[in-house]
Amino acid sequence: MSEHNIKINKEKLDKIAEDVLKPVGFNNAYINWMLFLTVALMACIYAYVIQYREGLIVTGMRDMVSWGMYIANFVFFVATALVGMLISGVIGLLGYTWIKPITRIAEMIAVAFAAVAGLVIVSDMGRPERLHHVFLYGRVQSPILWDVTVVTTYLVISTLLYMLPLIPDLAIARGRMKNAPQWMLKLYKILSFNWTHHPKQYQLLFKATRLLIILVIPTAFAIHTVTSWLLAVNSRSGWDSTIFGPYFLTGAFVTGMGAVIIAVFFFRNNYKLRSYLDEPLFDKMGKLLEFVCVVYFYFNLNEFVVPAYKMKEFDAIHIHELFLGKHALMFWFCQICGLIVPMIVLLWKPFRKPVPLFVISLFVLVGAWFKRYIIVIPTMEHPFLPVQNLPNEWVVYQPTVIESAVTIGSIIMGIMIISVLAKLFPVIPIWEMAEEDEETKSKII
Amino acid sequence: MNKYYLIVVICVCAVLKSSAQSSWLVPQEQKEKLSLVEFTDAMRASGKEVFSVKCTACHGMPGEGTFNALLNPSPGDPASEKFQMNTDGALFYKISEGRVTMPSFKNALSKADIWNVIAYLRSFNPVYVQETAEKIETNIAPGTVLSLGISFDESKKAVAVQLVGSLEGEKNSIGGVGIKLMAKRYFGNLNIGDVKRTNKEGLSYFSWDHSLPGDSLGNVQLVAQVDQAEVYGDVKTEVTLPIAQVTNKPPLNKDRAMWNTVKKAPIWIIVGYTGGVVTVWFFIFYVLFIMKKVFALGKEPITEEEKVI
Repeated sequence: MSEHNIKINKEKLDKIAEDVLKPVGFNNAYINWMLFLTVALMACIYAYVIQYREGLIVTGMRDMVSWGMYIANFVFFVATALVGMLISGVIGLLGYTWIKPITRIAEMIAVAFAAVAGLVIVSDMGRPERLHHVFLYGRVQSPILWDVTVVTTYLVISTLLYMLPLIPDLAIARGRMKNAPQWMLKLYKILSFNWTHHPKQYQLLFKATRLLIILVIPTAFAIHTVTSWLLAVNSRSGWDSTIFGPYFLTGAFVTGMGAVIIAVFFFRNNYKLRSYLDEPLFDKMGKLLEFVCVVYFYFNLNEFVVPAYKMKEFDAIHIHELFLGKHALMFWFCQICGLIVPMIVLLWKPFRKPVPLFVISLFVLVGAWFKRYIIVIPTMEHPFLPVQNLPNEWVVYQPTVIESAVTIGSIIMGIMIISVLAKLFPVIPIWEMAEEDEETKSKII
Repeated sequence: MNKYYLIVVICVCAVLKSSAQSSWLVPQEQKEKLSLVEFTDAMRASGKEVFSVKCTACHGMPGEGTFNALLNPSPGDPASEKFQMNTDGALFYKISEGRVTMPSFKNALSKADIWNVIAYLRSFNPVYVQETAEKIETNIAPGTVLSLGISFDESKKAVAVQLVGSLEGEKNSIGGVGIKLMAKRYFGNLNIGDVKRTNKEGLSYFSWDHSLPGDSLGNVQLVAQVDQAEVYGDVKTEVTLPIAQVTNKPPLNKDRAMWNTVKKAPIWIIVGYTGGVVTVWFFIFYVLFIMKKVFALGKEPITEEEKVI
């Protein structure tokens, strides 16, 4: 286990370091891309300023539908963030080595989406300046406090899981990036933590990462199970379900895999890393996506078929609204384009090639976002409370332009964090890739 | 011909049946009708005589449940709660008009006889307090200041509300004014009986139900007010009387519960939450401690052979 001695192939290391470090650093294209994102984000922040000034009245949320697009978006962000755990935690602990080149990309997504998830929930608050009251006056009985706790904890663990394996890489990069600006080298020096490639340092690093990888699994399970409990502890139709925890968790794996495939496809082409992010890797990722889709499909089957068979009074209203009513188009898009079709076509190898897999992942990710909308909003529109003589806009939810802008802003923020990390640090773990093959399997377990 | 006869019979039966099943509706103005005089013992005695001649055949002896149960609709026991729920006016109307098997006594009995029967039947109701339609002059001199007083009349088992007007230091009882009595409770007050007019002494009586729940001492907060505030002004008074049922229910937030404050949260949830948080964060700090060791190792000199890279 931790006794294992690391052996690094020096020639391989030189080659990998050269390829991986080439795209690092801010070039003109990158600056333009960030400028574009910044301008777009400013517009979205302006929308939030309006919301902050006027209050939540500028959103489509009213007395009856008090959870709208923000909560749906929050659930989506938390779901996507879980991919860090799936890749490093579950697949890594099982001893699969093909995940090596994508572990850092997965952690990057985890860090970015977990960080923004916290902000998304703040955007849903009517009085965000009272955020600290959650910690001062929070009740341990409330799933909201649990959620705040686990999101924070998961963010910390994911950040550590991203930063620790980066340490040797930064030490490698320091010696090789002669043209990098001074501040960048200084940052590398600080973050590389006096790294001298001492074997004992490697031993300690293995120990620390192994602990984190074990720790991230229950934490990630907790974060999404608690997020599902925010809904499932209510007795409303559509949320009142005992399988909500695993249903959310497996959904998160699908969402996260979609996101990671899109990111890997992007880096493969734009960072010219085809020899590392190669076709066999996409084939493996495709198979993993297929697997999580099947599991998620199974939970969907349970979640919808059982109430649809019984058709209890209030469930029936909910189910009809989803299957045939005004949410039907979105519901069937999510189920068919975002889950069933990907699940079927991924069985054939040609669909697991980079380009088809990228397209499938786009559908999966978009479907996943709308699926969260389907989970949150239709239930709110059918409250158990007797609703009489209420204006229609109180009962039926329609997101406003400001709400949509704030939501888009959160997505832009996530992309910005990933963009910064991907240009500041190498996206593929250099030292892990250069490690001698025969030793790799025993590294973690 | 026989066929038609049968249809008519069925129709009549259906009408009788449906009218028997529906509740006996009394017109509002008839319901509010009141005796002009207060019931006396002489009236009750006379009523008893009339009852034994005209009513016992079907209704039996009041309070003994000896009515003729075979009749439809059931005549019922006049001392029963269902019977006594009727207002004086409603009883008068029902005796006068009759329905189905209950004959109309409009032409058989005088109005005085009917009131006597009602007086007799009311003697079986311990909580009954009579209200009369005495003609009272409500001649309130201008400048009179009205005030209300609430007390409990032990002999009548009723709450007495007195309306007094004071003009230049002189106090007079004021009759003929509608008074409303309410008990205070969460989310709106509870009406005690209907609006009652004050009598010549300025008094109106509200029969009291002792089963009404009060606080831990049996206190109930009563509010009396003049019904027609737009005519007499907003005259109102409140008093706390120890006449209700002693209620000593533990508060809902007494024990540990999900809905309680943090200090009274269920133990398992406190232990579960803090246990989880402490465990995970212990390991996070342990990892940080390991990294501190990595940092310290970096300060030690290292030979080129030792270096992994």
